Amino acid sequence: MADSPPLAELTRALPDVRSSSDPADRVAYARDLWPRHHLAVRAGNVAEHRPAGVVWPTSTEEVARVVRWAHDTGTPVVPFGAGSGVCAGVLPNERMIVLDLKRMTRWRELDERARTLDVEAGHMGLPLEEDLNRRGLTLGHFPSSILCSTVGGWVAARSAGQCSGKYGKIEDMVLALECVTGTGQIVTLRHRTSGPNLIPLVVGSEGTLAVVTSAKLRLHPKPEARAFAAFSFPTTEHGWEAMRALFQAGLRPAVARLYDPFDAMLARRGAVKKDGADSGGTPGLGAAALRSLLRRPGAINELLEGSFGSAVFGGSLLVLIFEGDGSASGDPDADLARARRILEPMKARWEGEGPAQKWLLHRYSVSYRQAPVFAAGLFSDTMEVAAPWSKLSALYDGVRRALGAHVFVMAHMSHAYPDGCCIYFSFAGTAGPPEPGREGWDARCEATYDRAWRAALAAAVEAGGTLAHHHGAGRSKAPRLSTELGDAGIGAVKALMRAFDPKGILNPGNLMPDAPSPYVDDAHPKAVTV
Amino acid sequence: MSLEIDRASLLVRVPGAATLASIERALEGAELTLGIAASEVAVGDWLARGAPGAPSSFADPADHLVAGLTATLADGSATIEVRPSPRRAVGPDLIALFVGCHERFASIDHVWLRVHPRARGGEPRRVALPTEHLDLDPPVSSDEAALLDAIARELTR
Repeated sequence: MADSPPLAELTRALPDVRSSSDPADRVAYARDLWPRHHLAVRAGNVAEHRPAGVVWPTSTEEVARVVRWAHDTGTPVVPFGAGSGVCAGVLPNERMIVLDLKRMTRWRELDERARTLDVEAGHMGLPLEEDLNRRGLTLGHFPSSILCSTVGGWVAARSAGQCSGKYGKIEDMVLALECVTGTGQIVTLRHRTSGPNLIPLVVGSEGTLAVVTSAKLRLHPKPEARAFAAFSFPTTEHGWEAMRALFQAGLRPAVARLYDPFDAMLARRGAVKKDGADSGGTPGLGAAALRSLLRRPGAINELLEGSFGSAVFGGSLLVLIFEGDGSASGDPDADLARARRILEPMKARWEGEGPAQKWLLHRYSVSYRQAPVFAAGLFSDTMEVAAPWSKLSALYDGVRRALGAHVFVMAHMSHAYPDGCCIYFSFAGTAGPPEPGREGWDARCEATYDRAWRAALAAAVEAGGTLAHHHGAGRSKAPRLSTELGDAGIGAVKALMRAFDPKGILNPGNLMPDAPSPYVDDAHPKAVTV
Repeated sequence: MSLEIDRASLLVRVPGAATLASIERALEGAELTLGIAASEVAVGDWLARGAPGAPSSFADPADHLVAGLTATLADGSATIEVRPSPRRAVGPDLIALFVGCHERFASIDHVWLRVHPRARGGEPRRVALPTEHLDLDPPVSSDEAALLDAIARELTR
């Protein structure tokens, strides 16, 4: 098959750079893991957004040559890690080239004395952590996607890991970034404590400012000891007040996860079967019953919220894991003892070590249970918002109410700080009633999905929260970005894009409120008013 | 001085012109502290210099100094507000344009700072300290300088 025009030009210009316009490759790189894509796939639209082709550079120099070619020819380029993004950060078209970094996996420099690692952007997460562990080190970054995400993807999306309470988010780990700007120039950005620091501009820029080719990351000693604990609370609010108390007292549990009553019930049961295998089938009641049940999400949400839900499911559940080197100054048992002293007057009920140990054992399992949900004719997604503690209640109630009118919703809080917290909503829904022009099941699911997101994003901003804590914004949240950043903030982001990428060839349309909307027309109008 | 305290979140909103010492005095009544050596330098100037003397974020990665701010671009054409949030992932972190950039791009009108209870008790925080071998203040390279020039140009275009 002949290459599509942009890729044919590229292969002529750079014959030594591996590339493909094979239909299977173009389909494979047509999307990330935005759940709305799954609805399209289920409806038979496997790859509406396939690129012209894919290139796999093996070095920064090759990345720079590809980007220089793209700059000279005005060809848009979409940087690609492992494709596990969930916000439509990857949404190519037939004019675009996808630049997959996964052949760039070298460790450039491990400095065990300074505890830093300079690693190329295409390195996958889990093997990186395992190799570090064998040297007695850890990055401390454990996103749920660690099996299917790369260092570059973490940086691009401003990722958070499950141990953010002790190690911070990825932006707290980056000491230097090597990247290729939109002109094809290779630059190294360095962290500074008392001078300009360009790293926070590129971290979270989702491929719009530069292609990240390597990152110098801060490492830590692998923990020698852990202390596990779980506490239940009468309500979710009691639970987050407990988290606030812990973090404001200076404690830094590596893991602090608070589950609302329904999510707590699931957590107590464990995420997977005892043999560790996913069921692979439709969960629980059966697909038809679930579809029927989820047509009335408002009633279910009302029933499970508040005192009834707390009584039935046993209240909220806080899972804590402290880590340390076992020395007097890093003793996790001492930290846990201090936490117990803080929590006991706060209506905490000791639930033992079991839930925390079970969580650690199955920490990545829940991320791989979406397929049965979609196969059952339903959909599911997650939304991670954050706010200062003073606004957390309004954020929780507002987003929960907004989502709850459309979908079944539960929540947990898994990233806490002294000044605030992230709320992680999980939700599942199904098709609404038929409406003109939208009779098909999947089209009706899309309408429910879009309306739920539109309402929830508006509620998050109205409550004083941020639209995204660690998944990024992509194109899925971009229509609402101006409500959080304001016109001046969006103007500044556009100025940064012009400074790094004068021709706008890097992932064009991403993070832009005025870019063509990926949603159905009535759910996300292109011009969003506050 | 107009000072707004969010006690639950341990945040304080102060004008950029307020001095660290005046903020510290105002916080005393609320049993709060900035937790740094207070001086007569204006907080906006202090942040523009990169907040010298503040604890490094590498000492306690779960904490940070600036939760939000309002800043006016150098040419006065616009005011950017970054609302307070413990963390966010909605594109480039615009706070980096104002902290450590010596007011090249904008001047800080107001800022949300992290504060601490004045009497925390004797138990130390369990944090991940940086090693002494980390170089946290390297010189600005010519490539970075060129990008800073381009940012300055584009912000006022």
